[in-house]
Amino acid sequence: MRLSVKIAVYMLGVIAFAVLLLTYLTNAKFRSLQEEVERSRFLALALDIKGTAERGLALGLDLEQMDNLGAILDRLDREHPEILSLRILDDQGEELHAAGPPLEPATTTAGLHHLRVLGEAGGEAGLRDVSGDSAFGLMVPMVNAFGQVAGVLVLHYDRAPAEAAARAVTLEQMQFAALALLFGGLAALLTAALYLRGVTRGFARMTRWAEEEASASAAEGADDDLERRFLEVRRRADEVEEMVVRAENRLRRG
Amino acid sequence: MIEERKLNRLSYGLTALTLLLLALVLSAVALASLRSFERVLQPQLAAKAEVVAEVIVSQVDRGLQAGVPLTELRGFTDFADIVLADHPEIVRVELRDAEGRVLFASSGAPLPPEDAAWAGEEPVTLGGERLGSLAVAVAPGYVAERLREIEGEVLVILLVSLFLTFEILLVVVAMFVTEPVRRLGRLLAEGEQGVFRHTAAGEGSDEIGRFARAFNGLVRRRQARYLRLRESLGPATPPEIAALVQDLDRRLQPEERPEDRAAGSVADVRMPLFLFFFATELSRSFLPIFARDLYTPLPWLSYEVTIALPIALYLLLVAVLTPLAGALAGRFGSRRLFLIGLLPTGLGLLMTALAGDILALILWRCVNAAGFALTTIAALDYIARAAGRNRRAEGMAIYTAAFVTAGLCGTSIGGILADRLGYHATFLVAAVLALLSAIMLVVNLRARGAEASGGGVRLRPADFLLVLTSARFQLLILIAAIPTQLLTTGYLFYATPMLLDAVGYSTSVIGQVMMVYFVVMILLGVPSARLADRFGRYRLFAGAGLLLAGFAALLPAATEGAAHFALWVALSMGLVGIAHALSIPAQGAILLQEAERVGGERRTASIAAYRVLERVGSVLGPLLAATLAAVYGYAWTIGLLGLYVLACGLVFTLVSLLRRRGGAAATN
Repeated sequence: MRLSVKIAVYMLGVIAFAVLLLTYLTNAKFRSLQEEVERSRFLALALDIKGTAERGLALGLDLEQMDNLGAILDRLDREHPEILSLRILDDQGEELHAAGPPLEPATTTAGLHHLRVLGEAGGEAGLRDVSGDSAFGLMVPMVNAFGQVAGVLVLHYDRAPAEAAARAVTLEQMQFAALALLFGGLAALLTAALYLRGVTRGFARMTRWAEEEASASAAEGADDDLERRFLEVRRRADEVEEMVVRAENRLRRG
Repeated sequence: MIEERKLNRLSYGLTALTLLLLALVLSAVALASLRSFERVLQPQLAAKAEVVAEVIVSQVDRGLQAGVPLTELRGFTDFADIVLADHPEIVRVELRDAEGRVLFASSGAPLPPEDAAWAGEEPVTLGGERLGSLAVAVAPGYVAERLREIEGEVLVILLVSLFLTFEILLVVVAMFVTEPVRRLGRLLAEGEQGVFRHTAAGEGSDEIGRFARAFNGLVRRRQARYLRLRESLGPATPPEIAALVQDLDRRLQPEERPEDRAAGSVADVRMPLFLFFFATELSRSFLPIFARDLYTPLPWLSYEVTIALPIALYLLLVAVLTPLAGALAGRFGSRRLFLIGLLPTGLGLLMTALAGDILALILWRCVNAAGFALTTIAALDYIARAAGRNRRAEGMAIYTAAFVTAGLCGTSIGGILADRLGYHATFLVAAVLALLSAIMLVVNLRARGAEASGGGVRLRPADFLLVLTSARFQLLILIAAIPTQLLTTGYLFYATPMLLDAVGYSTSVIGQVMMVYFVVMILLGVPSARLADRFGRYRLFAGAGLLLAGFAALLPAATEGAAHFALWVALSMGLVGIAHALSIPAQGAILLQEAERVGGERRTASIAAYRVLERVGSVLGPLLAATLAAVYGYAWTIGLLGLYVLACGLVFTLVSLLRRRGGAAATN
């Protein structure tokens, strides 16, 4: 394989590696940002329900007495097709109001346990991620006027549309990357061929001189220091060969 | 020999061209990606604005149903402000009547109705009758602003890719062009003296390989004819040709082992070494945070000290094991020791990925430290042998470049990977990289024989005594080297992640801030060392570096709570980078000067003893920072470390000046 092609292949390899790295890492950042925007949209709905429930709790009502919560959950479930499930549970995990099936019971139970532990330690309850394999989810604690957790809202949503959009972006990025690599490959080949032209020609010429029986090409002249040095080496090699011939002749005569 | 200057020009020229090409390609891909991201994120933000509008309208509806007229919803502004506080991307909300007149609005400057920021309008109805509407405006620059964060990261990735590419390309060009040409150069130098005993190794298929084949043919033809002659002579050479044959013996007797194969090349270990450092540096930006997440109480140890232990014990073990590793390099040979060292490194990284508590983390970090000590000593030993006396400085520069470049790339990429994949998975990636490093090493060094052993000078307790009792060494080690190392590990590697994490920055931002130090070190390390060499004022450079580092470390405390705090910390990191670029090479030069005074065989041993003692600062750094942080918080802890370094810088400069004046007076 020609030196310029070999170097171009490696250059392309390096560029491909860098392009893949860039594509992967930017895609990762994009997905994080996309998830954040998506989550904040559902969080806005969840915080609205939390506000409604906490106003009722402040008036002395129990969560299970607030029938309007069920209606709100049903309406949101109807209006937002990405919402898979909306449930209000009491602090023991008992379902009080629900729209949609219960999802990811394991993460929900773990979330509730965490809230209980936090409550016992006197910590402040906050938003918790209850995503699982089948759906993404949020758990929002609802506190009464004394700051005690009276229950939680668990919202699970479907990420399929966002995933589809992210996949489309990834595909686009791959296409850009492939196109850039094609351009990069051609440019690398051209660059390497042009840049190494002097070196490859020099070595090709020296190869020819090395393969010739006698150093007749010395007259051709050398273009640079390396070639000049090789011509000297070639001349020396011929001298050494002459020494061998001289020894052979003397041996024959002797 | 072939002119080194020409070879370097060829190598750097090819690398520069590739980097230019790479920068163009990556910029195009990055720009196209950002455009795609914006296209997908804009509708998602619009959907979010609709949800916010829906939330506010539901409250308005409640008021209307309670009998409050639309024009009397006086609490609207307060309520809208509360909602907007949770959603920074929404800039304004207006409640309008049926004619579109604004009744109430959130606080802040009004927007003209035709402004492009208005993202949606939700009708306000009562009993089916449309009473008005609620309009929501999205911050026009929000997506652009968020994408600017990505742009910043893209720039970082671009920079990291360029450094990474530079590292890889130097190896590729060395492997295919400069090293083969250098080897041929050695043969040509022999040929010019009329000596043709060696042939070129590794006849490749490219032009250089073809030339090597042709050259070998040229040599072998002459060697074959000479060997035939030798055979025909029989046991006794006729006296009339004895002198000629003796001369031919010197010129054409083939050597059993081609010289090139035995010598090895620094390029052989450059890539594996880089990968090894890269693997160990991946966790730099999050290790203290990871330790904090795995925290379980340990007897007699405070929380802060416990989470600093994985770093401090790692550094302690590296310091303790380094002299031992030096002795092992003599016994096993550098290649075998390099491979042996990669075993605990890979195992340590793999098991760290699976660690479930702080004890497991500490244990496996200690295993890692053993691997690190063995591998780095083996690499230094191999480089010293392969580079030979004439290219030793270049060999060491290659080692340092691999370490610093890996530090830069590893810290930044590790941060991004940890953000996306999690800490455990990032350690798994590091373990795979260590394995890859071992494979490359086996492949690259398979042709090299087991290296000669010995040559190292063993450290004795007397060497430590020599260093500790010499006033000149004391000044250098206590006032310059230990404070420098203490600041590096205490501030840069331990307190920075903890400080920025506490303020709420992501791991990738922490990685980017930390990489500023490495970038500055890479860019300024060599020029500042050359400058110090040119002026010969090493003490001035070392003192100035210490003073600047001390000042730089005061910045986080001075700017605590400021907007864009990460930028201030990054500035501080950059200044510490400049300070260390000034100070560390100068300290090395002073060390060599002091070691020259010791002279003899113990000179090398005194340098090694100094290096071990210097690491006391590295070990103390995280422990001291952790202890102080428990009382003063991270920003002020860094400030205190800065004050300490500043004081050391002052003492160092004053003593140096006094000594200089004393020296000048003695000369007069």
